[in-house]
Amino acid sequence: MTKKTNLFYSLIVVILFVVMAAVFNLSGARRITLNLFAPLQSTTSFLWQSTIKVPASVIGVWGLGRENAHLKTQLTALEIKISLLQAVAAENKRLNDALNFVVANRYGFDLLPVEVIGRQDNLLIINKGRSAGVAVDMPALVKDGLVGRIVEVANNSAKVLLIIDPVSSVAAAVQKSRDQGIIVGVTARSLKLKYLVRGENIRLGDLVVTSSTSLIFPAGVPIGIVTKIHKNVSELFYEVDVAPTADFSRLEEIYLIK
Amino acid sequence: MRYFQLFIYSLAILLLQTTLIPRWAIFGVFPDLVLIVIVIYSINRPLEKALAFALIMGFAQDLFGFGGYTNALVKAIVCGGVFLLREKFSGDTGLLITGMIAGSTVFVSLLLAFYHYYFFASPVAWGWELSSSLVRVVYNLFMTMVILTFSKKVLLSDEQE
Repeated sequence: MTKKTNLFYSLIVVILFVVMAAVFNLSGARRITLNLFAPLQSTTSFLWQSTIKVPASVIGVWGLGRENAHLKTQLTALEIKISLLQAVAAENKRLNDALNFVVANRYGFDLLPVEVIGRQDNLLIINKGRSAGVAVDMPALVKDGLVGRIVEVANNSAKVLLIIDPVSSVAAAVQKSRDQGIIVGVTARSLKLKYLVRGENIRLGDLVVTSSTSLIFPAGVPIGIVTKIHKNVSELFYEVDVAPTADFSRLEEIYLIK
Repeated sequence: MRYFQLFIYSLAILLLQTTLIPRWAIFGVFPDLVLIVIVIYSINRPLEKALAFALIMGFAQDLFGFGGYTNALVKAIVCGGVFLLREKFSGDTGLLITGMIAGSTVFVSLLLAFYHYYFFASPVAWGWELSSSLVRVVYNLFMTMVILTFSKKVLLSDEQE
């Protein structure tokens, strides 16, 4: 057998192996890998965080007093803001009740803070799993906006599929115009809002949020900002380029909605 | 002993790739240590050994993913490419490694873009694909220098196998 024939047969074996792996799904093997590697990833992540935080904390000690005073002022302002918003929420609920509206509970979410300990392409590996109450399809977010959702759970770790992955899709709406579409991932820095039936009222800079039609994500979570509108008259739908509000290259701590 | 050393080394590479490397992203792009290690390992190994190593490493990488086994397939294809091209190359090994890593980085990026376009109807952002490939090539070549400095003995075998 020549070397080329040898290579050809070897690649056929590889393709068969990959097809078999895909057919049998192997979620058990993935969970075992997650369980085995999570402690190692957690330790490595902790060591790295500690290493990079040492110089920052040494420098930070000098300005601690001033920062503390500033944070206290901010905290007071935020507490006042929260109490005002709670009053608005209560009023909103009362008015909805009066109108017999059935609305989802948008104000009583439990947030579970989790730490990112690893990443493989567009999947994050987090340090909490089934034992902490993490379940498949839980939405993940940061203060800037939506990050993704849980796709696989092990005992003490789980995987989050980022919304920038081409496999991911999220029901979304443009906040101002309320035009509905589906957000899909394109690159690490851009998303696309597809299947917009109407798009005349969309403007550059408009905020895209999760839609109330989504069965997984709560409505109103920021996803991104409109950066380009494709109006092709020959096509049925509009397409909009969206820049995500969350920075996917700097995710250290995220929150899961329980 | 040699295989045990390689096993521990591979685990360390996988741990680095999934834990620290993503934190060192530049413009959202980070290097692929597994690809680099596979190319270097395939340079002077027999096909069976190199292909088995590429398949196992790619598959292990996929186990951190969510059901797609693209890494196993792509890494095996890259290994095959190295095997074919090394036969035709008679120059310096370092130059061959550099060329193969640069070429395979672009190849893998384009192949994955095609995969997402074909199977998930995901639009291809050509500008992004090309610019991120360029950044990844530079980043991968830098990491190749680092890897060769620290682990030449494990990856590049001098013995005739």
